[in-house]
Amino acid sequence: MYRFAIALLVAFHFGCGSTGAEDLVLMAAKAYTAHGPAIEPAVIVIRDGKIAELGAKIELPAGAHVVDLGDAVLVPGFVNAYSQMGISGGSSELTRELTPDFEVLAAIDWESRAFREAVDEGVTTVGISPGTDNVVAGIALAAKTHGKELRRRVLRPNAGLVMTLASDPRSRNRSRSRPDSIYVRQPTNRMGVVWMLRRAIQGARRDESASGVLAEALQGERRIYCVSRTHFDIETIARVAEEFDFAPVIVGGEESHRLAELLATRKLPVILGPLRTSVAAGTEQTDPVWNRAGVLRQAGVQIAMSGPSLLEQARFAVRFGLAADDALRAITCVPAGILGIDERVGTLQAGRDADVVVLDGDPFEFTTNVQAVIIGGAFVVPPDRRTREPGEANQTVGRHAAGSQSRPAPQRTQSGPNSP
Amino acid sequence: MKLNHCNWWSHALQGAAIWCLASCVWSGGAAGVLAATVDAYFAGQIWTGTEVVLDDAVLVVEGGRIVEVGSRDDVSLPAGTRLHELGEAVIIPGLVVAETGLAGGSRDGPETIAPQLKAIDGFDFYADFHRLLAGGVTTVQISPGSNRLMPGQGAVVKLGGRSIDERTLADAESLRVLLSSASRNPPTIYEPPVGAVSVDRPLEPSKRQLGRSLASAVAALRATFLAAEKGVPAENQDPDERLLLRTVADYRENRRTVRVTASQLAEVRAAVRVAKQFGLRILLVDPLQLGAYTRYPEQWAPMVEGVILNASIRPGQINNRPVPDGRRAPPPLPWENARKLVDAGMRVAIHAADDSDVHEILFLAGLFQQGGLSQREVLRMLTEWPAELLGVDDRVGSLRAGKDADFVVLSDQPFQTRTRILATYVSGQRHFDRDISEKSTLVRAAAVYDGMGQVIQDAAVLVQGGLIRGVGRDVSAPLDAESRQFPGGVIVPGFIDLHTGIGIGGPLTGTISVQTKLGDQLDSGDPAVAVARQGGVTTVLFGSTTSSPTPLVAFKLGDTLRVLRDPAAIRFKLDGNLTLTAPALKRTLTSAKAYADAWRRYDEQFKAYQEQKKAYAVALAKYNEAKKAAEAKAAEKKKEDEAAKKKSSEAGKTADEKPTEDKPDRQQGDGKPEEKSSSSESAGAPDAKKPASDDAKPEADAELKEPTKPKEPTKPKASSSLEPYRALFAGKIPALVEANRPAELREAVRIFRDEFMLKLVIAGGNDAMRVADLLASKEVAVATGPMLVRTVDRRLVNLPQVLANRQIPFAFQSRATTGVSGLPLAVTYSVGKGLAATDALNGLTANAARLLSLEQRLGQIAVGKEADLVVLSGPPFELSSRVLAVMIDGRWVHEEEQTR
Amino acid sequence: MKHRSTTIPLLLWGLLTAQIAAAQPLAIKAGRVIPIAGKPLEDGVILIRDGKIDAVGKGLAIPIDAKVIDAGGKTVMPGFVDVHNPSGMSQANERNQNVPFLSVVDSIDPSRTYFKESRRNGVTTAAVVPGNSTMIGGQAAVVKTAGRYVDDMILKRHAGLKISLSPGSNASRMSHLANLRKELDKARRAVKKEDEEQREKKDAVEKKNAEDKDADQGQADRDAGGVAKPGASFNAASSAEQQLAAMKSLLRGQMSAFIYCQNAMDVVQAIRLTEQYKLKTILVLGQDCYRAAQEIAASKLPVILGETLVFWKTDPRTGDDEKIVVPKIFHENKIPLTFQINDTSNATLGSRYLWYQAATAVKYGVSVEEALESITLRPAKILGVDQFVGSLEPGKDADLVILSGHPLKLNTWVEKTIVGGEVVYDREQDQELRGLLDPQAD
Repeated sequence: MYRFAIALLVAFHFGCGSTGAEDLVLMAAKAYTAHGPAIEPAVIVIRDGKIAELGAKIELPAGAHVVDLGDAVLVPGFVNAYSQMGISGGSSELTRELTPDFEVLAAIDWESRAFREAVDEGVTTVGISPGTDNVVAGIALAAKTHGKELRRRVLRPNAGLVMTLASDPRSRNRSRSRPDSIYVRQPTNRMGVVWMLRRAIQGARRDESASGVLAEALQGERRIYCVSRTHFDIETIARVAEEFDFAPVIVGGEESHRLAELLATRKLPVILGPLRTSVAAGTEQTDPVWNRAGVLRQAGVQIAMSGPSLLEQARFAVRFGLAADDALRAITCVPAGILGIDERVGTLQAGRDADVVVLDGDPFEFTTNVQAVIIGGAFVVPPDRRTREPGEANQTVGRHAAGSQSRPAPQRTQSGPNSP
Repeated sequence: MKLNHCNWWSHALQGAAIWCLASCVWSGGAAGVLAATVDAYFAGQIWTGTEVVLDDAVLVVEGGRIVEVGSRDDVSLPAGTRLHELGEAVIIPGLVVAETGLAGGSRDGPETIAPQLKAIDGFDFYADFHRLLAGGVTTVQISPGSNRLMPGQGAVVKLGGRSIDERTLADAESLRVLLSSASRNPPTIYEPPVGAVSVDRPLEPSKRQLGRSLASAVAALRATFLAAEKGVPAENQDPDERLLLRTVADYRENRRTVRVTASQLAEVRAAVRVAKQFGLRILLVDPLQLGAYTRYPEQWAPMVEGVILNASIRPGQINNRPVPDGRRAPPPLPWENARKLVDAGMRVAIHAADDSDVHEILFLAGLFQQGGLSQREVLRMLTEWPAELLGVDDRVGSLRAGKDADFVVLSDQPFQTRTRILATYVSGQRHFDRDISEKSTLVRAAAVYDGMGQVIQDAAVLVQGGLIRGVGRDVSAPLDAESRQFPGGVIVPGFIDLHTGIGIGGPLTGTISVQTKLGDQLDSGDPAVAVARQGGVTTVLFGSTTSSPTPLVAFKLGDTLRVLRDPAAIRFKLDGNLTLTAPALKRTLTSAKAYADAWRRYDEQFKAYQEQKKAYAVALAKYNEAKKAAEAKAAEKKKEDEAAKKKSSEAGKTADEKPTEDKPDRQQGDGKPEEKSSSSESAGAPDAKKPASDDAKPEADAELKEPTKPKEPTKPKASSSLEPYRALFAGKIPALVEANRPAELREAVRIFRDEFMLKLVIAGGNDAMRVADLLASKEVAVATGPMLVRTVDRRLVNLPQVLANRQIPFAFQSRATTGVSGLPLAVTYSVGKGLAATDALNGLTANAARLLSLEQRLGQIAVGKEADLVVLSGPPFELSSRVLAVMIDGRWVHEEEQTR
Repeated sequence: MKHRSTTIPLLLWGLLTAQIAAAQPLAIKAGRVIPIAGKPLEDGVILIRDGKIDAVGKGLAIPIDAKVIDAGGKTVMPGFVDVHNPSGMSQANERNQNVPFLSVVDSIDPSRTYFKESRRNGVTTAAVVPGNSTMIGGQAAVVKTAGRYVDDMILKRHAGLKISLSPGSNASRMSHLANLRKELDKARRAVKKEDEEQREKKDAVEKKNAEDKDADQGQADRDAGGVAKPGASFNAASSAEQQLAAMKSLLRGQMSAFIYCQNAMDVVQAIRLTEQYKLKTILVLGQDCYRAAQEIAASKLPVILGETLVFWKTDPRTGDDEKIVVPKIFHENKIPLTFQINDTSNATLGSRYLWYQAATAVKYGVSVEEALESITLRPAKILGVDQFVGSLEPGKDADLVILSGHPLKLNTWVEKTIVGGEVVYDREQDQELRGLLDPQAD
């Protein structure tokens, strides 16, 4: 199967190299679009890095290069809405507690291995946030995990303002040093955290802060992410949000299941932190609950997942009770919506970026592997290193040119053996 | 013998497929099992590691072993032999380093005497030894530890090879003993008895160890050997001691090598005495002070097998050495010891002072030439001798039939400063290759325009290590070369822009004078650079546009800007009122020329002086010899000699002082002083030569005269503001003279070309068509631009086309900052208006390189040139052609997005 | 607090059923039986009597007095075998580097979460092995995961001796190996001495026999000599001998050696020690050992892979990133796989579950049959308990799991875990799991 896939990739690549602007057509057994019903069999036409057309039966454009992926299942590239991926050096500014105008964009090593690992797991878009040691930490961004040109890779340099209402900003702070030392950081307890946040918001309201970042965010021009894990922290941020009339996205939310109804009525989405199945207590000694995602979804809360091995997290979430549909949405279109980039990514839909993950079976099986990852219409996994011998390449080109070029998609009645 | 030592490996891996293969090839010798291929390596020289050096020789390898070494004509090769032509390269054996700590020896066990420890246990066969192999090292001894009196047994391993078994040359090579100060701080051992330790029985040190002074170290050593001599305890007695003593007894009784590190004289003495007392064979490591030992080899040679010297120098670092303080002389340098030891008939090996320098052993050993050792002797100290001392000479250490095919390919003779290691082979397998380690790329396209008017259809370019290594329809390329295909694409050389304003991330500010090194100001982060190379421009000249003479730097637009030459040209400007500007310019050039000439003369004189010095040294030696003989003859004659010597030395002095006085005068004239200087040279020369010629006469005459020491010529005063002109007047770089109007052009030719005979390139040259005859006759080149096509007198003038038709060499300059990438487009317009595409391409590439005297490196797609390539989607200067990719120095720096 | 309260009723319930089950035969009607030894059966019946499997087959007559578990539509397979895990005891490593006389049996705590989790995930047999940071770390034991007292759980008391080739962080590797070799030599001498004594004794007896009696007596004497049975010498009076007992049985091949290799270079040493001392070695591999896959394949020694099966590494020289898929590399070298799981690891979400490790192997090209064997019969064989567990065959212990579906499917849950014919886990009764999945039900 591997060899088969590579041969196809080469075929594709040659097509592109020679004339530059030919369409790419992906054919697979099935596609879950995260948007409408599943398409079976699936044909996707990719033009200029975007999805031009998709459906079960499509008249293929002339001269298109067809890649038949056989029994593969296509899903949208996964979106990890909250991460510290690729941040080089410290992720938090330690000399100040409120750094609303700090941009995480400046701190990212775009060549970091973390991105390559993410792509390999099918994550094509990622939200990157500053660390959690500050009450107001700075500005998050949304970017593709792969791409040569940075300006194309960053989808939104300005995906929202990140704040932390948890124990992190007060941890490691000491009150006993000299008060004028730079090593003295406030706050040293949770009340202090909330007080600093309140004061910052009030300051922003009175236009006292140097930059208007916080004020803009409070007016709803910028999304606010708030890292909170325990139920009382989530309640507190909900209270502060009500007081100052803004709608934060809860990040972490390890005990959010206890406030499912509140979150649903207030329409506060949750980006869940990495799923934990061991009994060992997490950062804040919260109880492990396996089906947190399912409980929240049942109550009508918008959920997205984050953390390493996104697909694996979604699989475990399904195992623990989340509907498969919701699980797919929680790693594709929901996080894309939260990041405000759902016009570009998160679904397989005409007009959206051609970020496609090719799976060799049902997405929600542990035995299913990521076969290929396409970002912006180009195969990224397996890496296209163009090291094929000319002879080999020509052969495959020839075969496909003779076999499948400029022909309507073959009618297929059967779906792949793995599709449910 | 050594093969027996690694028996356990063969046990360990008996089942291994690899082992089977190995045993088939080597022990079985069953050639029928495997059809092993024969490889023949032809080289300019083969140094066998012994005293033999073969010229124009061949090394034949089969199944990982050397089959034959011999002169090219003497060796007959079987059919099917793979031939490897290495040109003038030199082959030497893989280097053997007689001591390293690569087995993690810095972490010592707690016991001061632990002969049962084995270095082989700490050696990681899976570690990455690329760095060492790149340094030519193929075999190393590994030491068990470095901070205990007897830290264990060393081993000898190869750094590459097919199986671990094959790589283990000796798993118990020697018993290590350290008498040097490093071992004199042993910890007290807290060794809990097996079983729980209770509070009732507090843990007490079970061993307080000896060895806090040299005396106690020697005592402990003696006690150990004595105990071993007395006999190993019976089986049922203390098993720990039994194991320990059995190991020691084995080394003593079988006279196996004991490796003793001893640097001070007292330590060396102690080592020799212990060896004598117990009848040991020792290898002396790191001796600094050898005292009288070197003079009386017979006293210690029976005990000492050989000496391993510490190079004691760390490459690239300054080493502090003790100064003589009256009481004690500083220790001799290692090569001084080496010379004496070799003369005394001792086998000597060299090891690096620090494990992180082992890969530089070739460099470190080269220093031993300072001790008067020949290259062959030094090489033996890294090959044959250490192999013998380590007892692995049946496998490695020399290039002889039957030995492992471990060899190193050098660019030149070993131990020359610039000699590079090209490849390292272990057991016939290539483990390091400089060419391959620098990635090679095969770029294939529909056509290659080589920049000299040649077009090769459907061709490929092989790029290796930043250089073009092959061009043509069918190009030899290594198997693992990265292949890059551009169906329908066209490859042309990288474009050269003869004047731009990019490279420093903004406008050029501050005072720019001729001596300014613009290369130092370059900023690789300049975004304009990335834009420029998108248009295919790979090399630019950069500099200011002021009217005073300024330098221009040439650099490549790679990801890091690489300066090609700084300055690459000096730019002058002729405009405005020529009656004022021309004389001023002339004045500048005159003083510059005087300066340049003075230096040229000095260089010539200095060269002559060097030769004289050599002759003097020879003469002096002869004279001294003669003098000695004369002294023996008679004392009266000596007096006469002295009188003569005085005379001659006085004469010498007066002659020598002359040139310095002459110099200021000479700077006025032009051309003539050269003759003068040569006459002054000849004045000095006879003095130096005299004694030599006298020697030929009967001896009696020669004794009379001591040769005169030649005097070093005085350096002219250096002036940084005039320094750049030296290259200009030497014809190494051109004068880029901006001149547009006919009068300016004529003046430029008159001053620069006729009067000062400089390499002249007209910059701009808007009206060059009006003086085309002049330019053509004087062979003056023009760097046209930025306006290539103008309307002059209601007529369209396509200047490049005019120049092309008049056979005037031309190139292009954009003088742009952000618009450098537009230069090829401007040329395309010129092509549209009549310029031949071939001429246009030449102007952008080969001609431009020639104007800068960089044609040896740039401007063409030819073997040996730097790999600056531009891949276009169609023929150059077609409106539809786009730049698909740009390569600079073998790296892709720009690629058109695959998917838009 | 919350967890405790749920476990106690569960345990009580388990004990209650245990008494009933012991008395009457048990029949399981399964939708599908995967016996591992042999082809899967559709609609099979498993008959269990006295804690052992009596019969496995289609359309078997169910005894009238049998308790019947209807697992129609469900999959029944042998209980999983965890081949190497220190989690069953409270502390994995001893500070003293040389403690061959210690046994995990003295440290196993049946109430540890590990055993509860094991039953919940279908693990019925586990090798409790000392940790990786002690040179000779003590003896492992193979236990069933259900039982109130340690002695009830033990399947094999002297299952192997744990040896670690990785020296402490700053210790000398050469010293570590020399010490290890010294201990092995010491034991070898002791074995030799004992053998000689034995021979003398035997010779004496034979001489005597030749004079009057038949040879049977001599045979009996040899058996009584304390050599054959592991652990027999544990009652010896001398503590030094006690300390050596484990080492001696190791060298006699009565006990296997779990040799932990942290790096590829350790593998070479492990193979060498194995040959030199004729050990019955089981290689316990660290992440890096995939580089010695060829040597491992040639040695034919059984291996236990580290719990991290897929990881990335960056080549220090070229800077290239490489994804290492460990099961794939070993599978390609034709090395039979077994897996470790880790309770505390947060490396990946699934590395706590044997079925997940098996699914990962399948994901990278290992066949389903092979993967299932590698969590059942193969580890049982490695541990030397395959005559009791690892497959569904008549005569073996009735240790099995009833799964809601195919063992490697995402939505498959362990419905019931049966150890020795007793139901020790029932999902319906798992209040804690209910709490984890539906926290609002409280």
